Amino acid sequence: MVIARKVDTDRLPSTVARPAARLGLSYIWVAYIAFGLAAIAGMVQGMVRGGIMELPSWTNYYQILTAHGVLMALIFTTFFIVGFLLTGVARTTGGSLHKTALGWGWAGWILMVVGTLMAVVTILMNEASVLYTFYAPLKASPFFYIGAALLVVGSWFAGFAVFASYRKWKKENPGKISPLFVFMSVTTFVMWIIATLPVAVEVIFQLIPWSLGISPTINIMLSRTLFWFFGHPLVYFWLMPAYIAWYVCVPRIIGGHVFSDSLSRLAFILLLLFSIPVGFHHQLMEPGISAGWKMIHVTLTLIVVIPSLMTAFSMFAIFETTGRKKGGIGLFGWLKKLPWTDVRFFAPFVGMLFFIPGGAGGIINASNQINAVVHNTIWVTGHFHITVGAAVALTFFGVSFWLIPVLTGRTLTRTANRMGMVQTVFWAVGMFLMSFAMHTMGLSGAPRRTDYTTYMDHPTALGWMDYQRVMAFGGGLLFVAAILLILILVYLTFYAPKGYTEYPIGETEKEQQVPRLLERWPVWIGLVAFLIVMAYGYPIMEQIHHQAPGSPPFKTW
Amino acid sequence: METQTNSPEKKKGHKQTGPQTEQENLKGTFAAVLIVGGIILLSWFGVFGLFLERA
Ligand code: HEM
Ligand SMILES: [Cu+2]
Repeated sequence: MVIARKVDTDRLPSTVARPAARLGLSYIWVAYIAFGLAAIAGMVQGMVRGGIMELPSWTNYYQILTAHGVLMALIFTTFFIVGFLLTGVARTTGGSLHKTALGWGWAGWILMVVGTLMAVVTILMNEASVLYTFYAPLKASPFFYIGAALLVVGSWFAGFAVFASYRKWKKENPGKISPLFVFMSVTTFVMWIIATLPVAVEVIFQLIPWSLGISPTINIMLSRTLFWFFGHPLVYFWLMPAYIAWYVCVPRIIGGHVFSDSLSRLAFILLLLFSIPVGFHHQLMEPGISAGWKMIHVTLTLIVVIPSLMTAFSMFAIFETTGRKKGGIGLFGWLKKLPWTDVRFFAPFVGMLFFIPGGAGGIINASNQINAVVHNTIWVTGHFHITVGAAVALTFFGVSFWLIPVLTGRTLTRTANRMGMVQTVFWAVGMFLMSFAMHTMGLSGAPRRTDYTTYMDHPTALGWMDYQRVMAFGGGLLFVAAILLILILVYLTFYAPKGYTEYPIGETEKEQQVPRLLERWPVWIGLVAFLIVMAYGYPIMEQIHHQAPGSPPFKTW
Repeated sequence: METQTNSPEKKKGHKQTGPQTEQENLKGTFAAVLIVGGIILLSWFGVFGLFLERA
């Protein structure tokens, strides 16, 4: 097996220049430090819920759950995504980032690190056990919210770094369509910045003054609506970078080609349009929003099936065309020709498999009536562990196995590759067991976000206990996989042999025509704004004008 | 529609633009997306069944 494949280096910048590489590596390592801490918390939660261990008196379940949710879902993901996209943009726009982009990138890193430290310290001091959704009226220390705001603003700066590189590339290549990786990164950050504006408003104008005691009460409905305006696109902020790896990097890794340039871009535009005006699908059980508006959001939500199935189709098509070219025959014979022993392919592929039940579960969650079956049960936790915890995370691991060597000028050795395969299998089996148990328990009513309890030995709750233990066992496997991953990544950062590693960027087989319209940002941003105003304008106005009595803060822990 | 080629710096001998000419065999892809669709429908109706049972 060839791991560091030779590329036609005369045409492609072979690697990422030092300054950009150092920046990327700094983001990625903060991501993995957060990941490691969060993995400990995750395992502990599983053990506690399974009745296998009890927490010491100086901590409590909800403190650990907050640490896990914040560190995994907010810190690990955001830092990794910025590191991946910035280096990919560098790689595809000439191999480096210019001064302006580097400046934004580092400023963003500093803000994000300071924000992370503030949030983590307040959580450790037990001043912020508000879970990663920081729903009012649970009140955290103001420093927790200020930290969250810094994290968000820092990520905007990272977005500005991407935009600056894009603008520079455009200026140097007038009239040309941008590289696919750059286009997708720009789309992702446009989506992210629009989506995070309202949560910034919630944090700065509602939560911080209320937490400081300046305003005695808070408008709960409004704060939740602003949160989910951001909360759903947040999952697309995790997913789109994974899709970038799938659409752009995986084809190159398996020795194939990008299936269709236009289809890939269109899928991203659809994600940009339909990931924001849909937040009420998280508030289907909320009494303060009328059924009609919920229906509009549900309808818009289900449109996301289109880009998702476009992605599924593209992935199969990439695999089939590549496999057939290598001699695969029959209906599924091409599957055998894929590079199964190359972890750079295997890890994201397993992630894709997890995304199939993940997508199916998402449609169930978003369906107004049957949301009642799963709402706030641990089914939901199972759902996002197979989507973000498996599909996205395995893709990020797969990327890390080549990205870290690219950035450190080292190589992914045969042994490291093999360890990566073992790591992937452990993670996949652990996630499968844990999520399967979570889904099953959820369908029979087990709530999420609860410490160990047998509900006074109620027979239904006792029936969950076997599944709770399966969940704990899965968590144990996941923890082993997490440790193994960190060890491999330390090796790749500091010890692996020096050498050339390719930053895999796929291209289409033949030149393809790409509609110019796809890159007319004012059109798409205008459409996003239109959809947002249509879906949110009236409900938000109503929540401000006819507000229920506000709530004072509560500290329940 | 106004279009643009995506990799202009590539100067290959066969300048093939426009829709692909030779038909690619994507039977397996078609079967695979049908399977995915089937999984989605099965699981949706499964949970919908639970909903009706409990309603
Ligand atoms: C070592 C691997 C992991 C284990 C053992 C694990 C385990 C758990 C458990 C047991 C829960 C709590 C269930 C409850 O009481 O509601 C949980 C919640 C959660 N996990 Fe994980 N998980 C892991 C990885 C991940 C990853 C990779 C992510 C995302 C990138 C993630 C994101 C979350 C989130 C957002 C919550 C919800 C927190 C909340 O309800 O406030 N987890 N996890
Ligand atoms: Cu959502």
